Amino acid sequence: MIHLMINHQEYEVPEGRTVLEACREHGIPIPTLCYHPALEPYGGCRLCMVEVTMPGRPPRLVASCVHPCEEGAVIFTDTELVKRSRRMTAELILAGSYNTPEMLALGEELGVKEVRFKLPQENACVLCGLCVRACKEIVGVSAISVIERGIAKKVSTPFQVASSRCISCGTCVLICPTGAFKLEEVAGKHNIEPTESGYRRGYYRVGGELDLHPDFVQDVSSLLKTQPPEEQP
Amino acid sequence: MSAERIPTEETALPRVGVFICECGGKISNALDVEELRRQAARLPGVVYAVHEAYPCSRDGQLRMQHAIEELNLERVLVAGCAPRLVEKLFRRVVQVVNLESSYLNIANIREGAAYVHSTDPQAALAKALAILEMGVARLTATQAAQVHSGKVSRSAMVIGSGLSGLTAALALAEQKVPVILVESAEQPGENLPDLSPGTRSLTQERLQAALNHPAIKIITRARLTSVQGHPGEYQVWVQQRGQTNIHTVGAIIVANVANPKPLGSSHWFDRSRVRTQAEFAHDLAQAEENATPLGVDRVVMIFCAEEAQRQRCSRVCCATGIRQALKVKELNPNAEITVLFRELYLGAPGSPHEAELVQARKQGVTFFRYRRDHPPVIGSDTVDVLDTLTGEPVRLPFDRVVMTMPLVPVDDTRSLAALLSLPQDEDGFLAEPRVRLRPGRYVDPGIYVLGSAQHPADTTEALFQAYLTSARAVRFLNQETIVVDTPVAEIDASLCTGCGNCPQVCPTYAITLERRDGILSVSEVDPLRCIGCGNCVVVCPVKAITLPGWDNVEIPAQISAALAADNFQPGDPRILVLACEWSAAGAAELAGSRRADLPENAVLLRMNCSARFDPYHILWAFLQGADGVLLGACPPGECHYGMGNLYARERVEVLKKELAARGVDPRRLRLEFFSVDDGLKFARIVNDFMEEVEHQLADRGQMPSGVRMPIRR
Repeated sequence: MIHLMINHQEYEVPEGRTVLEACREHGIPIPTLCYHPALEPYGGCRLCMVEVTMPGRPPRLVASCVHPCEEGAVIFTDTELVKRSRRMTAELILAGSYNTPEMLALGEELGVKEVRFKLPQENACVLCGLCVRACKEIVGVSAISVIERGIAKKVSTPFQVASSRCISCGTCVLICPTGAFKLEEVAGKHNIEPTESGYRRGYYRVGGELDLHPDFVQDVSSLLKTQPPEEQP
Repeated sequence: MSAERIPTEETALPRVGVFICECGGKISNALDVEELRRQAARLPGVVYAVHEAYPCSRDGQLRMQHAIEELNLERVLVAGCAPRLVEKLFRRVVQVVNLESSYLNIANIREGAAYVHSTDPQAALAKALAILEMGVARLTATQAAQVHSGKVSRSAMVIGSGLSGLTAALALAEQKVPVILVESAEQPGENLPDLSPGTRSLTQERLQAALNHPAIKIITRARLTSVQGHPGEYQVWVQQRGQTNIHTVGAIIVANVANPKPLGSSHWFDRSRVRTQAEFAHDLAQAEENATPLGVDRVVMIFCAEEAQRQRCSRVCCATGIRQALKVKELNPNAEITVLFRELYLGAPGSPHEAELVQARKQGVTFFRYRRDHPPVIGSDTVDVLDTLTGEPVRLPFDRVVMTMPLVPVDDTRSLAALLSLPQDEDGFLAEPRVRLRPGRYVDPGIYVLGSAQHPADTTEALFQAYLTSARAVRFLNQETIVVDTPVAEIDASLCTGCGNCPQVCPTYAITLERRDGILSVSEVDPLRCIGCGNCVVVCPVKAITLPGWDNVEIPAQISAALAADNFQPGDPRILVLACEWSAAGAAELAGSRRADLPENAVLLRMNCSARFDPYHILWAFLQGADGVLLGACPPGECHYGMGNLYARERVEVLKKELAARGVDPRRLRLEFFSVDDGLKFARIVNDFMEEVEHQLADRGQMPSGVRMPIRR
């Protein structure tokens, strides 16, 4: 067990926990955007910054989702330094997604009063990487990835064409915190109607007239009888 | 359904533990989790109920494992967020303490209840409780799926010794996979169509390498007569010169060649002056060999001469035609050659065929493009064609017309398709069943089709496909065993009447009708092929087929729990939504996470596939008091299990007629197609359906009461 101080209170946590896990376990709120318990921590959004002081060393800001709990650490989650860092990060994220309601709510929560920088093109995607990691770690197909670097960085499929690896499970759409993800861009619009001939050989035989229909009528009739049938043995 | 699986009154219910997630306030702010916990603890079978901030955190996982061991829990219900996000995580958690993962259920109360009713705590609580009840009902009824496994024999059979077949065989042999190469002709490579010199020498080279390779065994003049077994271990009966040998291989690669279609006899022109490309190649070869003059001065070549070719490019004929034109010029420099084409396909940019085209233009070969709606007309000594550029009709006199015929699969393809259960497309090529979702994958994981057996392929495509396929096959063959731990249909032989319904509807051909002593045959399921869609369960007239997890036990139990009267306000309409987990269930989760407005008295039941939308279950829902049943399936062509959605559509049509004939308004049943990201469409349709049921169907045509389901519970 590791002993550490969080916000003037002493806690005991098992080894191998991150600061974020310890805080969540003890009900200390920390805002996150790119963290998901089913995924490996990523340290991408920098909203979960906390101030950590190790004995004999100056305090520093770390991303709590990837920072391990250390013996004797003194952690503050709501100092002015931490708040300012989060506010700045949120404002910078908002610079690209200033019309996204989820991000605006988060900004308001963190005290962003005004967004001073605005990119010409609004984009709800904040590059938290949840979709990419979910596709890899939960679904196991890696159909999407982040491509390009710098300001052009975005989530896309290989060669930006409809992915053949994608199984249309929709996990990426569901996990997206801002609703930016559009499945059509990954999976493409195209789909196949079964062709006319032998291809759908089972379909006609069951679909209707031949097999299902006659048996089925009989069964429904028995089911719709007003008298309850005999108890099953 | 076998007798021992029916729970009787004496059997005690399994011990269920309920873990309610607060999701750090996201759920607990919307509803009273403590009240939910109290209510959940009263449900039958529940011995432990707890709520905590994050059961998914590592400490939460440890506490869950501890509780399972301490209290000897046999079933675990986690009430939290969307199963598609956390199911894998919790499966790992319960497996550590030796609980079957099918005894774990995730009830989505976050997107399903807390998010959609975030302003109404009472509604959120009632909905969450209904979802919990369904989960508990499912867990107390369900039986774990059995794990099936089969071993993989590390060997392969390649059918056809064309360039793609030889390449795939060599690539496999290089990975030390023993390969049996089956060829129908006397000599390997005999059946090949007219190839360019480069391809021909490459094929010869590969053939020599294959003949000399110790791991490749070539069987000529052979054909397949029967295929049995399962992926990873096929027994293949190969007949060779009247003798039949059985080979056991792990994978089968079909690499048949395609040949030009013969001209047939339904034509009206002078056969001595009209030749197909293949026949003309023969003429040219003879003229060159005997050094005799070709005897033709005016040659008209028609590319894409058959309607079928305009639908599907045969890939090789343009290049072959241009090569032939050059050859004619070489034999007779004064010959006038006109090429009528629709589109020229010469392979990838920079291919050697482009240089040939330039050369042909330099030597005076005329190229005319014709339009698809004005194909060239062959007369007695002229060809009429409409010039695309000027729009003028052109009349071309000829001594010889050369028609390119489409490539069609060789005759063996049909019997192979039947033996290996592969679908064929309109032209007889072996079609990829699910281009959209699993390109390059056929029905069985151990069967591959490549090259011209699937689509006419040029050299580059054939080589690419061969390498890709052999890589896939090696990866498949390198696993020692195939383990299937997902639900698999089981057939109770004592109930099966051998009616033959289920083999027809199985999308993976996993069910076969076997001989049985006596008068009735019996169906058998290959567990390694079954994908658990449940289509066979629905069509079985005697309900001899069970599918653990999606059986006639747990689904009716869930429906009953969902529609229990105390979950609804008296007088409110009750809607049951049966949702395919790949489409409508996903859309519903998305609707929740986007905070869409969903009616509080619509309950969602997540199903594996729309193929499992059983008419019995729908009727059961009506009998349990549902005022409307909404079915959500994938759009046509996107079913993850083949065609489950189309079966569902067909069944709904029939069921609607039956309901109408019995005085029940058929509008109470509705099937809708959703894509997984159609969250807002889902919300709109559910609201619309609720509106229709509530206001337009004032007289809903009550179902007769007191009716029991004809399946045992």
